[in-house]
Amino acid sequence: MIKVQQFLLRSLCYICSFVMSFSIIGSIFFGLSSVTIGNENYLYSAFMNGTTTSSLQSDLNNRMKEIAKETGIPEDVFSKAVRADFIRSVQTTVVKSIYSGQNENFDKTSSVRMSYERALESYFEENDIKHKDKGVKKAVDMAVDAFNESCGIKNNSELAPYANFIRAYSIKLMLLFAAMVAVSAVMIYFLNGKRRKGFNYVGMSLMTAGEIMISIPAVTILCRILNKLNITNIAAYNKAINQAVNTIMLVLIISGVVLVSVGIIIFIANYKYYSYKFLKRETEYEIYKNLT
Amino acid sequence: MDTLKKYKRKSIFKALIVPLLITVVVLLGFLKLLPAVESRLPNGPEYVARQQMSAQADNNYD
Repeated sequence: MIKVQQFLLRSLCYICSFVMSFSIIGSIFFGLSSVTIGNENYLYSAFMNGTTTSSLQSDLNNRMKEIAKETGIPEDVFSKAVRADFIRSVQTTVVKSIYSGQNENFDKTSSVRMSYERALESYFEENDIKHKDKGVKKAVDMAVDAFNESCGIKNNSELAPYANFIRAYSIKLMLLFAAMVAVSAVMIYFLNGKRRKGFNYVGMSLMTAGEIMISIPAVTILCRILNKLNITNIAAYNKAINQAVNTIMLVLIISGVVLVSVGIIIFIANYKYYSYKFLKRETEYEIYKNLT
Repeated sequence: MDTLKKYKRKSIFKALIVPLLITVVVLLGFLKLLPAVESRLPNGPEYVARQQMSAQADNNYD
């Protein structure tokens, strides 16, 4: 009967420590998500870097080269119409639209169309070239289409639920998991009769959580899994997202190393405590035996 | 000393073997689930197929 009871208690301790490890992972993951993916400012910093702007611009310039060949209008007329500042403002719009779920199609927005129209009109005027409105419209249409292909997000309606879920629920989920960590720690403490041996279960759950938090991000980074996930239709945005997620992965790995270290320290401290206790008991026993 | 040895053995089991086993199981599960997640993500194969089907349906309707 006692053995069954002990087995049940031990099983409960194991279950509590597994719950604790997954809750630790959950609370760290959602805590990190709330300050990164769920935070508009973090997305701005990820999307608004110079590398993203320059790769968007170079992709746009490549497309403009083809349009220039087709229309006979010099390439720099198109490239001067849309400069880096303008692309940067488009990037801001894209970040905002990730949460709103609206697709950023710049076809109908007047800013892109007007920039190209103005640039073409002034080119024709400066060079005194006679032209037809229909021809200008066609060239502008082609340029705007190319701009959309280079900078406009088409699948925001698919992206928004993920981003909004993390923004709305990440802090709540983090608190829920943190509460679960506390509850399971208290349960382990009481199931072990408030004795120090319960710390071994806490150490075990910390080490499990730490090892999972090291291995999954490490595999993701080493196997370049993120590079295969094309979250948006634009390569430059995908690269920016991947870099941001890689930073999150690195933070997860560092947290994992900290957890594993704390787990090892708990085990060593407990082992030292118990070996001292056993030694003390043996010495006491020896003294008792010699005296009697 | 036997009790200490037993304690040491139990500690090693809890500190090394259990966490490692669970990590391997979780990692295998992650790698197995990944293709399914990948295909459902925006621009994944499932998403692209859905887009193509709706585009085709639009064309047929026109």
